[in-house]
Amino acid sequence: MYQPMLARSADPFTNPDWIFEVKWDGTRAISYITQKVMFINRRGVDITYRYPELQIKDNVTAPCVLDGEIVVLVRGTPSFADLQRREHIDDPFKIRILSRELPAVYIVFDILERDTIDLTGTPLLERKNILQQTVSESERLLICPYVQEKGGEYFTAATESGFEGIMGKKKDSLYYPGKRSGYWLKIKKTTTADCVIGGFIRGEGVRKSTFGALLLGVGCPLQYVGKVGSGFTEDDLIHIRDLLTQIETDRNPFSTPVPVDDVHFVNPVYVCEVKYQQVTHDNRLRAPVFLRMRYDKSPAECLQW
Amino acid sequence: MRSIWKGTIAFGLVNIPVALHTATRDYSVNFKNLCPVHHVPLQYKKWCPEGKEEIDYKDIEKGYQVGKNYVVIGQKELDALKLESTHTIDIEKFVDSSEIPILAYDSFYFLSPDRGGEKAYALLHEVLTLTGKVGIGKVVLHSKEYLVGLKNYQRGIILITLRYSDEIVNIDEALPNTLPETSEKEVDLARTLITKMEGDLDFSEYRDRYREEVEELVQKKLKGEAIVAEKVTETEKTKDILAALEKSIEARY
Repeated sequence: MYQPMLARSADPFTNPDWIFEVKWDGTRAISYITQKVMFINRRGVDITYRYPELQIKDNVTAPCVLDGEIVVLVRGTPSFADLQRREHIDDPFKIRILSRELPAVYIVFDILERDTIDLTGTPLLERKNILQQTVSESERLLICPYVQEKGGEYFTAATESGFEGIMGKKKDSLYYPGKRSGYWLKIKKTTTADCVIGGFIRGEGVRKSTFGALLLGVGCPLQYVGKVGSGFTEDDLIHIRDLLTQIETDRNPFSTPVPVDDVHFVNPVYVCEVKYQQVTHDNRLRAPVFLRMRYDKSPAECLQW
Repeated sequence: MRSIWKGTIAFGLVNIPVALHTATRDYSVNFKNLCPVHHVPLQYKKWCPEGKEEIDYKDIEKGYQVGKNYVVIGQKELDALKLESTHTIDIEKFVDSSEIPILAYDSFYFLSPDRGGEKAYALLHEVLTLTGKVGIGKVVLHSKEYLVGLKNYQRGIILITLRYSDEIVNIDEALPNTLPETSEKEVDLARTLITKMEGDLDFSEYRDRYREEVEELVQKKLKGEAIVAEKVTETEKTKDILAALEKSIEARY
């Protein structure tokens, strides 16, 4: 089993030693394609059953292990909201219906193994060539294209087209499973952070039946970094309330003081992504806005910004 | 699967870090109540029929019904009764599984080893399997103390919350005092019949037929609305956008 290689954050740049590709907003998944196909997410969980439409066995000329992102495309760009509707449904019937209503596409950008030969020690551009020779595109599978050198321009063009950002990858870099290295960089439109939900406070007015804000933390032990009270859709509010009431606890999961009254603490198991303006000097998020739940991430991954 | 609780199994001097996961799911059909005009889910208001007004969540009081009256208990008074979560499953003893009445089994959870607990977990699983014993203990979940049993199940350990003995209905409340005597001949005959009907249990061959019919109906209705249309072109659209992106880069230089 391979752990996906991770990226650091960076600003747009131009450099002839690098290639750039669109950053796909979906669920990262490594696929193992032999007689059958298996998709494993970044938490090591087999999610194949969730995407019965991703029949990509015939898209490859040899058994292989691919790295890519499962997305739901709407008007040509990934819709994370629609992907999420796929992500937390277990009922086999609903999975079948949604596989037709909101079919997913697997965007492939790397190959880690071909014919049982480990390719993680092969430089990136060579892997890209092997990927081209091994995989063919279809309605359910796309090979992610890349451009040379011009990261700045590509970033502008990609974000104008509705993508969340781009990835920069060093041409001669090897594949480091599970490592967050400077060889892969994510260049995004907005600064976002993945935070662990450690509690919530009651809402008022129209929000009194759901919640007012979520208490966020990062690190292990969990440090309190602020609360987020905006950015939720009506569905988010109800859905998150339902999740959190199941895991309410008396135990304060934060190791640092929480300067909020009437807190309902929860077991720190769910991760959400927020955008924010900056991190203040006392390590709090300034003006965070809720973006979405990240079921594909574990609390242990929320160690750094 | 995501855990709903983390803690440790404690017995003797041994502590095993574990995570708790739900082990059963409910797929029974459920419908949302919709507004006949707007087709949105209905909201429910907390309505006081006496004062004819909506009551705010934070003003709600709890009442313990006694006959026609209510003993009013404040949230603070209730909170004072809540038990502090200890995050340990304290095992008090190991008993034969046959000692636990089947009616005591309430709900089921998988226990998985948490970081650092793999070895001890494997060992506990092994001995539970070899001895057929069930660890009986207590754990506080959702501010309430539960009596639980830890039992081997396939390659893991499950936690079963157990009902307290006064929650199990005495069989005398349901059955007549005595049952008629049976003769040896009758027993033999019945036994033959059972032997003839013996089979292996293929659990997957049993299905919820009502659910399947509802699903079929839903599917038919969905087809009528032709929701599948257009989706096939999404991938093509994406390819066009990507090609245009690449072109725009060249154009800028």
